[in-house]
Amino acid sequence: MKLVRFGFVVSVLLIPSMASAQQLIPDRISCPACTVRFERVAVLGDSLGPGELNSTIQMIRKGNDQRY
Amino acid sequence: MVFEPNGSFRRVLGRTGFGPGEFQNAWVIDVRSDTAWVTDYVQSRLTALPVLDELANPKSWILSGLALPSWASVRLQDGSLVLSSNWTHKDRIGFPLHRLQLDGSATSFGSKEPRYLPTQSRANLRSLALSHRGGFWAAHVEQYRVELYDQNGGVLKEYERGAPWFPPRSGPRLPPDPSREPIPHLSSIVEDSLGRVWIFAVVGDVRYREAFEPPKSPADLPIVTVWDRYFDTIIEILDSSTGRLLATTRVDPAILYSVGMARDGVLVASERRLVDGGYQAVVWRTWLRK
Repeated sequence: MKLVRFGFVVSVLLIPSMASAQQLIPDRISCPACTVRFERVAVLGDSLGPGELNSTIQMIRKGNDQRY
Repeated sequence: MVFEPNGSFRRVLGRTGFGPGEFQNAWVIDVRSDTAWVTDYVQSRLTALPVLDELANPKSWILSGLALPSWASVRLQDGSLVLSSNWTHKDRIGFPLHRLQLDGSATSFGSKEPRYLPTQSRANLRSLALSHRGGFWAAHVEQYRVELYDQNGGVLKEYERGAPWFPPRSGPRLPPDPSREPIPHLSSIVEDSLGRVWIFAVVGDVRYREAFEPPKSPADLPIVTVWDRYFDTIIEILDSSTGRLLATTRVDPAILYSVGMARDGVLVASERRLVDGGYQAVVWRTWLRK
């Protein structure tokens, strides 16, 4: 994955944190057997400014698009 | 900055200034392997920055009246960009969606009649997501209404859900204030690999009064610094063919950004405020288990 950033140098950290996965009680509607699962997979950036946060999100999208 | 796949530094893109490839307020709206699309609302300009070719020149278009940062954008299969933004040019104002072709020309659409009320700055904003059908989804921000568009901007489907926790609103935009409960809005939409549509709507967190920065003086306006305390998120999954609600749940983080598809579900993101005032992006995976 190529990273493209604007502005000054900011290090990017990738912290896998699968251990923090949250299990939540679903409110079942049309799929009685379905459960919505939700878990944190990464924390990115090191003290980003608002524009840098936006750029980082774009980079995550870009990297993810290449996988699918 | 551009890095090689092995992590080594390659080059820096853009710098402060008014010339080609220079920015006063750079806002990246899309990146492909060879081009970064960057808007600069101070200069009313869209720039295509070559990422890999160091000798190629940036290409810019003047987009008069484009109020940026835009709320959302998607790139369609033909390379054109669809933006949701309050664009105040006389030919664009009042329309929620604007399609930019690679030659810099634009068309605006998304409502039968153009309608712009300055005090209702979110009325014309839409969250956007690509559809596997080739078009895109547009979700109203201030009401639970979702539309599927084809590549040419024609409406294929419209779904409206009367969720009691998300009543439609049409009044002036009210900024966050600890004296009133947060107003729900629809923050993100993503279509997954099975064609299901995931809706992320933020609603008031019971801790919302703790989300604000302590005022330094009585004249200071309230500022939310911890969005995870101000909002919870309600996640809903719709069958894209019928609009039927498949499942719904409520989570504590304020999901403010869509990322895209993931295995069996989608990726989204929230933001974490650090003690030094900076931010981190927190990425979440959510999926439906049968």
